[in-house]
Amino acid sequence: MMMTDERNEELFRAMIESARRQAPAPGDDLFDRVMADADREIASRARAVVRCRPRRSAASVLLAVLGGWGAVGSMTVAALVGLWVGVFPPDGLAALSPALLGGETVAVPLTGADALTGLEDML
Amino acid sequence: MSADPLQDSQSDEALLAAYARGERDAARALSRRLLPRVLGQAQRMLGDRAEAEDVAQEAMLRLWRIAPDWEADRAKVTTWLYRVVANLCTDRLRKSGRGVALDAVPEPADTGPSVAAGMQDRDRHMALRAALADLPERQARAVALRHLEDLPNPEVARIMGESVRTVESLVARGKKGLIARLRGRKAELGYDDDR
Repeated sequence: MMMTDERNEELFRAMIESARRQAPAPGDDLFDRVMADADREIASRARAVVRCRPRRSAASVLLAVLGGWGAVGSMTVAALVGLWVGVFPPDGLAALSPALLGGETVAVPLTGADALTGLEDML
Repeated sequence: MSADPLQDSQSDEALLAAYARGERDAARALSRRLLPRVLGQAQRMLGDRAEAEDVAQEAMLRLWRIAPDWEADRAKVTTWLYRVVANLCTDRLRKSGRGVALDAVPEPADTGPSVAAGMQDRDRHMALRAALADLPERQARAVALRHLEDLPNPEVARIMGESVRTVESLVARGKKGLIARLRGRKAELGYDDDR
């Protein structure tokens, strides 16, 4: 019985050793196929990302061009302040105007019918 | 296949993460490192070069596909690949039944002593393949990983997702089953000549 076990073990070892001697080196052809698969996977992932990206509306493109919501907010505040200063000029502004406009004081009302008259005088 | 020392110093997992970010060179480094091992494992289980190459390519393709979802705390890449190759090979063994017929495997044209020894190795390997194909799949995987790949039982257990005790049992039963299937073919396989 013991002898049989030993011989079985030897048989098993001989068979395993035959298989273990198989240690093939991958050829260039297999390597190229594997790399082609890797490249295809990178490309298909890139395509999937593009497909998943939502289409942008004209308004969102304009918003991006202007610099986003932060920039648009700043521009709006600046416009409102400018309008406010035009309609209700602060006291100091009247004294500053002659220096800026070559010594002449020109009043340009932003409201009322004679606004263009003031512009003609200035020209 | 020129070596890149920087990439060669990185772990498999770091290279796989780099590949997931689209770095092609990382795939090249991983292939250079892992493909010989993957092909060798498949060849030892299947005994057929063309089939082993198909399995190796399929295993590497699965690696490329899982790369974006690879979790850092997951098992090592090599552990994962051992499992994938073992599974692919046992699938093929099961589908091919008793395995590839000896006549279907090309014989070397030369006929020297080394060629005769090579043919004997081939015959034994085909007989081993047929015996592995005949075993229950888990036993076949356990025996192949333990004895053909020479991995310790705890590593086989990690690869198979089993306990060490279960692996010990699978290996023991698988080995016994292989011997029972091979015993009757000793003379045919030239085993008695070795004694």
